[in-house]
Parts: sequence; structure tokens; C-alpha cells
Amino acid sequence: MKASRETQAVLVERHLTKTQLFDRVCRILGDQAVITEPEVAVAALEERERLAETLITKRVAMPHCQSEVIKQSKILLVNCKRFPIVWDDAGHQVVGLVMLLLAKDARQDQLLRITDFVRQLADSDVADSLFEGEPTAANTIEI
Amino acid sequence: MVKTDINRELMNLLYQQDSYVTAKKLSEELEVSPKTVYRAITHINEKVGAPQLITTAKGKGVEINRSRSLNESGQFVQHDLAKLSEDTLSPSKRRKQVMIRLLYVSPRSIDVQYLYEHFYVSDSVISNDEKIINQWLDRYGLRLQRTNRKASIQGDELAVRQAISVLTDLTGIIDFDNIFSRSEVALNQVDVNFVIDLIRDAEKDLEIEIPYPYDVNLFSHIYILINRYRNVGQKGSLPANQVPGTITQNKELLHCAEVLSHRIEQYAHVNLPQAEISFIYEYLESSRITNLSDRTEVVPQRAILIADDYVRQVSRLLQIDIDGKTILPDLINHVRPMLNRLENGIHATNELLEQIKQEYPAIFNAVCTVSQKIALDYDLPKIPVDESAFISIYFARAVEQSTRPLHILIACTTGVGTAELLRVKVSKNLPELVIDDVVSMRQYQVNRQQYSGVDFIISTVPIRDEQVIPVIVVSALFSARDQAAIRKVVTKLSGATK
Repeated sequence: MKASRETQAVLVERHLTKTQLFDRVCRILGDQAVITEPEVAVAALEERERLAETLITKRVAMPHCQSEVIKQSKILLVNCKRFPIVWDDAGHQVVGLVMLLLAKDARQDQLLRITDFVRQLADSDVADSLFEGEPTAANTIEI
Repeated sequence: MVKTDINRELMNLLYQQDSYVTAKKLSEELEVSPKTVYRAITHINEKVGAPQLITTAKGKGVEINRSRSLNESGQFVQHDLAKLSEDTLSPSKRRKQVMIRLLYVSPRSIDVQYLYEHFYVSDSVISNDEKIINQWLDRYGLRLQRTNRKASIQGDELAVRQAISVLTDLTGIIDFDNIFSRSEVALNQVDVNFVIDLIRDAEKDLEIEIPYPYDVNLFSHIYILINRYRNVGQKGSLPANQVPGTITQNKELLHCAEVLSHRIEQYAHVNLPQAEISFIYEYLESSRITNLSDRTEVVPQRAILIADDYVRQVSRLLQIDIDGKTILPDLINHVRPMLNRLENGIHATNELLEQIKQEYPAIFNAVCTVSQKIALDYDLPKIPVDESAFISIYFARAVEQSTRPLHILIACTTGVGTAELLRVKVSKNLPELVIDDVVSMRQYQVNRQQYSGVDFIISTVPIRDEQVIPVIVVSALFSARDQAAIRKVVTKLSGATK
């Protein structure tokens, strides 16, 4: 699969709820100055989840938001295969998340790269395959 | 094998023989003992009555008594056999059986007591049957004649055949393989196989395919023809004044009709007059034969004019501009044999009639209206609804092709996440939809005017305040349920053209 330079891997190493996960991820990105106000980003992600579910396959979800507090657009591939997260009221458990955090003033070339990446996920096999193994990249965030 | 099956199989076998055959050989073929064969022969002869239907000759074996069918009391064999298991028929099926027997031997009469022998009904029931039968026959210009204790059906040969065809009812048979499972009346298997082979061979010789339902029509015509001649000989032939009169004959089809007639003569041991050859020719000519139209020399001007009238008048009634170029060639190819069918009283049953009425009510009604007018304008017999339904299909296709495709917008909160996923999934699963844009909620709300031309919006989140354009909220999974919801809206929005 064609990766985007905005992509960052995250490995979940404990049981977390959806809100806890959003909170931890946004705080880490806050520490990296990617997000200025993590709680605003978390609220935006939760608001999107409240509007409608974001499952893109039976085991992968795509939480996403666009906010002024996001300074760099990011695609986070969150692998929670070892600690699946209960995603909705129906009890779906996800093993991977494709988190899209979009800057309000994202550049067009960035948006195009992200769009290209997202389109590939329309094939559920491709989306599921992202989380078959564990991330090995050196810059993987562990939470 | 149950008793009735043995009797039927035995009769079928005997019909295939040109001369005597031994009981031993029959028993081997039927996989039963010679004793069972003799018992079956006795049973059949007892059921059918004198003269015997199966005769035996010492040292030679047994043979079917072909001359029996020309006897006054003669009946068609299959119906004698059908009697063996018809004790519990409903009144309508009983009347159907009685009519078929009488029609096959028309104009000859059958003893009423004999006719009802196996139904165990009273004289008043028989009398009531006669009234109902007469009412039914009346629509074909036929009448039930009762003289003393005998009954017969009198009328035109074409009408007799048409009535038999309707009663035989091959509706629903779209493949010759299911003739026996679908037909409600007993059919002679040997005859069925012969006629199927005949049609298949004709297709091979002509290097064409006779499409459904014309193949079933031709089948029905030949099957009935054979059995009429077998039962009443030349009394079942068409009068010379009923010979169809196509002026321009296709030489290939004419030759094919002659070959078919010759093979029928050999098979059924009958002599067919020229009228029958002409009629078989008309059936072939009336079939919408593929591969042959290219070889047909001249398309009659009348067919072109009628097809053109259909296009103009249906377009006007539907208030749609139908492109004549796309529909006319196919419509002319349909109208040409249709005219032949109308002129020769050949009825083509349309299995899709009810479906077409439901799916395309506006088109169907418009075509029926135009059919009535065209019949008057061109001095044609009444155009049946089945024919109008066939024609409706051409218009439905043309309308669907000419209809403006539906334009849609895809939205989600960001216009980049789930909306982009949906773009791919919609393109793949609903390619007929034109995706004008993929937008975020904010983009849509700011530029709402710009998207006023879209037919509906597919969104992964609800769009508040949108009251003009229909919004279908779907999941990013784009499940079958989501797709069904979209198709429902597509059907509704396309309904204006139906």
C-alpha cells in the first residue's frame, strides 16, 4: 500500500476505552506540538463519533476531525490488535484505527496525499491488512 | 414404475415402431417382465374399448393399431392414458380434459357416457359442464354439439387448433427441457421429442436461433398439427381459403418449412396439404429470428411506417424525446414478424406481461393506447396486450438510456475521511450515479447554492437544515442496507420517467 508522509504508527499496549485512547493520543501529539489544545481535538473526535459511527471494516475504524488546534495534518495507524477496543454500542471490537487529524489550513498537496491514502482503504482487505502485524518503525508511539 | 407409467411408456415405445415388436423386446426396454407387458396391453385395450388399440399377431408380436384413430369412436391415445389417473380432477380440470378430447377429434363425436366414464359425475353435472364448455368455446367461434348421446365440437380448424393450444397451455415453458414438468395436460413424450428435434434441426440448418417464446409457439403448432391429423386425418386440415398470404417469401424459410413438413409427414404417416406448409412458414416468419434479419432482403415499408408511428406517438404521450435512431432498427425487426402474427392469428404469449405492467406502467399504457390507434390506422386485427408488452420493453430501454443520470454529492465532516472512502465505494457499486463533488459539511454549508443541481446527497453524518435535497445517511462500511436505501431513492427519483 502506498504510504503517506503524514503517517505515524501507534501501538496500544494496554486496555483502553475509546475516549482514553483519543485522550492519550492527543496528549502525546500535544507534547510534540502537533496539537495545541489536546482536549479540543478530543472533543472534536468524540463529536464526530456521536454523529455517526466511523467503522470502515468490521474491525477497523476511521475516527477523524479537522480543527484549528491541529497544526500538522496526521494519519495515525493505531494498532490495538493485542488490546481490542470496544467501539460502539453494538459491541464491535476494533483492532486498528486510521485516525485522521486534519489541520484547518492544511495545504492542498497534503490533503491530496491523505485523500489518495484514504481511497485505498475502500478495499476492506487493504484496510484490514494494515493491522495484521505489529508496527516496527523506529518512531512508533507506544501507549 | 407405477402402472400408469408402464402404460404410457409402452404406448410411447409402440408408437416408435414401424412394425410388430415382440413382448420380450418390450419387456427388456421397459425393464419389466413379459407378463407385465401383456397385463399392460390388456389393461390399455380394456380402458380404450373396441377396436383394440394394441393388436397382437401370433409369431410376430404386438403392434399399435394406427387405423384405430380414424375410427368414429377413436380418440387420442395420450388422453386414454391420462384417464387412468384422472379420477380426482377438479371441475375445471375435468372440463379441460373433456374439451381437449373433443377438440382433438373434432368434428367427430364421442359418446358422452364414454367421455365421462372415469369422472363418476351425474347427468346434471354433465349438463352444467356442457353450458360452461359452450361459453368457453364461444370465444373461439366454436360450439359444442349434442346429438342424442354423442357430443362433438364444430367450427373452424384454425379455431380448433387455437383452442387446443390455449388448453394445452405451455405458459411458463421457456425451455423445452421443462415441458413435462410445467405442462398441465398429458403430452406424448415421443411426439414431444420429435417436435423438439425438428425445431433444433431447423435452427441448425438455417444457422439461426428461434428465440423464446416463438420456439414454444412453433412447438405447440406442430405438436397439435400432428395430433389433429393422427386423430381425424384430412378432416383436420386447414381449408385452402385459410392459407396465409405473405407476398414476399424468404426462400430459406420457405425451404425450411418444406423440409419440416416432409419430416412431419414421414413421422406421422400423413399427407400435409400446401396450406400446412404455408402455415409453418408463417410461424417461422413470425418468429423474431436472430441472425436472419441481416439476410432478409427487403423490410416491408409497412413495418417501417408502423414502427415509426409507435416511436412518434409513444414519445408524444410520454412527453419524452425518444431518439428514433436507437430504437427504430430493433422495433422494425419486432414489428415485421408481429404483423405476420397478427394477420395469421398467431398468439405470442408474453411471460413478462405482469412484470412489465408493474415496472413500466406509464410506458405500457402509452404503448397500449398507440397499439389501438395503429390497429385502426393500418386496418390490423386487434393488437393483443402481450404484443404491446413486448413493444414496451423497447421503449423502456430507450427511456432508461435517454434519461439524464442522477447527480450526487458525497459529504462527511471533513470531506477527506469517510466521504473519500464512499466515493470509491459508490463508484464501484452504483456506477450509474454521477458524483459531482466530495465535500466537508462546512464546504457544503458555505457553497450550498453551487450544489443546487444535485439530485441527492450521500453523507456519513446527518446534514441539519437541508430540506430541499434528499440526504441519505450511510455508514462508511457502505453495507448492503446502505446500498438498498440509495437504490430506493434512485428508483423513486427515476420514477418520473416510468
